[in-house]
Amino acid sequence: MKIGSKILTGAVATAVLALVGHAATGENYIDDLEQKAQTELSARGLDGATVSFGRDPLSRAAVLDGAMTGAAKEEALAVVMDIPGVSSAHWQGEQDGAEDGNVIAPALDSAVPEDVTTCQNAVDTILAAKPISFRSGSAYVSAQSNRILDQLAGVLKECEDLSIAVEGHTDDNGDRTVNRIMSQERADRIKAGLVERGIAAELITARGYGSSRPRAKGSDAAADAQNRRIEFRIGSANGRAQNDAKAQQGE
Amino acid sequence: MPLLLENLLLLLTTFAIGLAIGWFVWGRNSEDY
Repeated sequence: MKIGSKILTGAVATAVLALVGHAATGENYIDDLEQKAQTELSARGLDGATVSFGRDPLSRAAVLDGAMTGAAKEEALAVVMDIPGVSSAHWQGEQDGAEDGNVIAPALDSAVPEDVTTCQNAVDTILAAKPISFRSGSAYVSAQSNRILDQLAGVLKECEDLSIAVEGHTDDNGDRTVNRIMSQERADRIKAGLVERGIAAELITARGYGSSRPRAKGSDAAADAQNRRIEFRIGSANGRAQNDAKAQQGE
Repeated sequence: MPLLLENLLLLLTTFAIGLAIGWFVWGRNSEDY
């Protein structure tokens, strides 16, 4: 047998193996994914949404359906997207964005929720799934953080006229003054990122707290990584009262 | 992308990588197979 035929035979055998494996496991895999997504949504109290995946052909792209309003929709998308194995998620009838770009398109509902709590929860859910974090000594906004910013901007666009406090934090290594400056720089860059994505600059305040408000205790690498972060406080129309109230809870 | 296509691509890519490694390790100086 010539070498070309051997390679071809091998390739065909591999393709057959893929087809057999697909036929044997594909349907179960997608069923499992669907069940996981639905369970996760119920666990987050988003029972109004139903998730389905393409069956013909089988696909890992989730389609959500149900009667929900803007911020809850975004939250549901974020929850489903975070399940390992799900390739993308969009709402029934809405155009799916490019995979690496505007995955979570702003909802076109007229029923925009202006509720501070709803917006804060939507933002918290996104950040709980993947926080905006930084390398030690750096305010560089990574590609991953930019994707999180895309999601956040989608949610924050629904929170019209609510104030947004962007808080920068550092770990406790190094000089306090330097840390304060670094945290301000981080907050400023995130604010600029949101403004680039169409959020009104006058609604956003950026402030650095240095290492004065750690999230994780201790000085090991894991705690430090958690503490180099950005947090968001959504406030009512004039903003200050809500932000200050939350800030004083020792966060 | 359909799952079927993903599975096919994944396995064929694995095959191609295996082929490349095999050629690199055993095939480079050999004239007959």
